[in-house]
Amino acid sequence: VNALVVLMGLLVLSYIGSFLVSGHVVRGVGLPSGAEYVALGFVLGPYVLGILDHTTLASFEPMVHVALGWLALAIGLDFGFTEDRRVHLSSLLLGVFSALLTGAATVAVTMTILRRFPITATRGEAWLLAGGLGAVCAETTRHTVRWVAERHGARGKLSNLLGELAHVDDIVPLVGIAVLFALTQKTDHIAHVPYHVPAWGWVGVTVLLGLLLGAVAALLMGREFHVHTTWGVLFGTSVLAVGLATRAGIASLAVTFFMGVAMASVSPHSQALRDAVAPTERPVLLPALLLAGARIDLHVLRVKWVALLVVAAIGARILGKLASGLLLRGTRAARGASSAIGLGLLSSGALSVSIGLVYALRYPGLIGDTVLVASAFTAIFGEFVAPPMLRRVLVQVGEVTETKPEGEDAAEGA
Amino acid sequence: MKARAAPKRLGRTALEAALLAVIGGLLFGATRVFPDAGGTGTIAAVGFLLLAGTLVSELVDVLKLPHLTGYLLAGILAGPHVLKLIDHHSVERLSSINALALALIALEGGAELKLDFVTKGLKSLGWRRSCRASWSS
Repeated sequence: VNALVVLMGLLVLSYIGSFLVSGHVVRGVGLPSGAEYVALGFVLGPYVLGILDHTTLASFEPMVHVALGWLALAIGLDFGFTEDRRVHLSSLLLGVFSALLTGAATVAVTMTILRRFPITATRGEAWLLAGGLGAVCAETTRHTVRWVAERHGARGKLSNLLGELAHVDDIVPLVGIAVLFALTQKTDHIAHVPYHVPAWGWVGVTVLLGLLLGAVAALLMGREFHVHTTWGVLFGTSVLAVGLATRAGIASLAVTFFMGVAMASVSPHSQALRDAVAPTERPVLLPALLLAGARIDLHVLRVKWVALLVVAAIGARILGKLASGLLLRGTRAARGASSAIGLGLLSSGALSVSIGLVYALRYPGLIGDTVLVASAFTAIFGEFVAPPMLRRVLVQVGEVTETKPEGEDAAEGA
Repeated sequence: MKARAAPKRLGRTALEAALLAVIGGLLFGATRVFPDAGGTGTIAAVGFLLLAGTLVSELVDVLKLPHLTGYLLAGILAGPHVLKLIDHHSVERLSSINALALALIALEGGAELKLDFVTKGLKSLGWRRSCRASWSS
């Protein structure tokens, strides 16, 4: 099948799915972070129905890089803001600490398993695999927190705090993959670099390239907001950033994320930029999730001890988020909330799966496949556990009343 | 008012040109230092052409030249015969995007056609053709 035809089909499917989930037809059945698209992609992919074969997936690779880069740019533009206001410093610190705690717990648990059971060939590969699992398990997706708050009409200090935490914790996995990619620069790839750059120097290159391109884009947009120039500059610089990053072998997601952060800081039109980019996030996200699902190779679970490793990563994530929940209960906003608040932070989605997909593209084989499978399982598991737990906690603190959500009442009335 | 607006515009143009040079320099450095593995050069090429197209069209506006001249100029300068920011392989890989862009231009052209105007034009054309045919016979 022609790749362009498949792409058109994927887009149509995505929009139909998006319409069904966001509309009143099956409201409440769909998963808020779009994990169902990962599952759909898996079914369409080469390991189940085979509609999307390996060749087609390979031809989509540049588009996947650009789409994921665009998503990271949107996250960067929105970083430190929630619903048009700045995130409190205390929330920023708590969110980053929570993600670091969960990521570190995952790395620690998976490294223990990797030391005990010979899954990877070298110690370096073991750290790479554990780091990848830590990166996909660290964050809480902002989509689910927003979905629960919107769906149940939650308003109050705890809903705001949870929204802020979910917004700011994205920085941890993005910096994490920037470090991992920098540490694993291939020697033949950087053979023509005239100066010796240490591994940590490449982390600096990642951050600086993003900040430089973001500042350049903001300056090019100028003081007056012209739609034509803005889209040209925004799309041109972000695609260029992705191209330069993939060419240099550094993490393109991290580059475009920092580009978004710089743009939001320098440009006088940061709010207008957020408003312009936010609606593009979902249309880009859905095909990307479908393609991520299509790349999932469950055969990797047949490799001895890999299934145990994935289960252990999810277990470590649960422990990390429960510990974060305990910290959260110490805040004034979460007074009266039960320990279920930690389970409410378990949802992961777009960013985790994006990181899993980038990992699978950069490290094809056991490492990439394991991280991608873990990201998909974490997203699916989190989506089933987190929304009911979040709702329960918000009921406990009195920010949601125990009534049926809107839409369900209307449907029953009809 | 006009006298004050002109230097500001010139300053803005100079800034845009300088920033485009910075970005071109980045891409130039990257193409010389990092090998193009797996078509990654095409992504950077598309990004640069989009950006350069947008900016150069603004720059040639100052010289009262049409935007199309700016796009062509950006392509010539960035292409494989001058600065070599985009190599032959990337140009070949961009052919599918060319087809898509042409299709979009044609679609846009079709959408902007006014049927009344086309009908008038066809009538006039038919009238002239029949006149010419009768004259030559």
